[in-house]
Amino acid sequence: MAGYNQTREGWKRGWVLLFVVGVFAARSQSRPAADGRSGTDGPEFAMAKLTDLSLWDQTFLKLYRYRQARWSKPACAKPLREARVALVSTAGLHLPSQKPFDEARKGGDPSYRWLPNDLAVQDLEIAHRSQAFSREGIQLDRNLCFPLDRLRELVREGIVGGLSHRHLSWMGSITAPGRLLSQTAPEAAAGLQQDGVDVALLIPV
Amino acid sequence: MCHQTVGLIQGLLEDTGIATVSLSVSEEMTRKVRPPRVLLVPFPFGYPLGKPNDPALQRTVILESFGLLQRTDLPALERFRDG
Repeated sequence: MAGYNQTREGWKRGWVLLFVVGVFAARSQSRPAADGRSGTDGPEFAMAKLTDLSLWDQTFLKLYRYRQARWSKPACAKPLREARVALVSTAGLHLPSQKPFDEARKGGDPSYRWLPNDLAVQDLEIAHRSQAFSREGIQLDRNLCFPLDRLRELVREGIVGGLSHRHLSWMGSITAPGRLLSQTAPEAAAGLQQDGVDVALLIPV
Repeated sequence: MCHQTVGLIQGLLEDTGIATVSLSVSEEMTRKVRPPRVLLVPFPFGYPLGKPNDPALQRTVILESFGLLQRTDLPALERFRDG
């Protein structure tokens, strides 16, 4: 009897899933294709929509239970011209000499890489399992997701006080963020704190 | 998922006393994650700073995001105005 009930449950779930996928398929087909993409020059101004993504990604992101950011009180920001700034990227960037992120790890690789401040931006490599974003622009110019050259210019002009001697990189597609929250992010945050970082600019892709 | 990952790290950094601001190309995801300070930018996935080899635009995006750092009425969510 138990086996019979389990089979019935399985069928029910299957039908529900099929229905959900069907609804999203119908919805995404009824929309016009994403416009404004003009070759490798990059797109015109339009914010990304979930409907730009594959059907699978759309369905996943609609059903996914997001975790909310938590903090207890706003950090007090120094004036920018006195502040030490660090970049935090989730584009899966790493140096050629560093171990790439594990794209096969279930739930997403929660590890991070330190990127030294004196690196050549265009040397960075990408190990990111998400197919939800185009690499085209980033291949042409890594500053599109890791604008270290722009920050260097702002320091030279005296607009920004200085840069941290190292920056942070994660691969953002972490669907099970338990270890990120309990271990790797607090560890990295403590590192930035020890470095005397005042301001962090965080950039997803 | 990048937007959730950024938001979660951002909350932890803010609590260590580091003032944070992030960019977002996905308002839908960011509204669910609610990071402390966010600049919503009108660009597609994979183009958070706007365009490759366009230093002027990239610089404007960065400076506009830094403009949110003094905000303490969190979460602060603003739209990029220069687009």
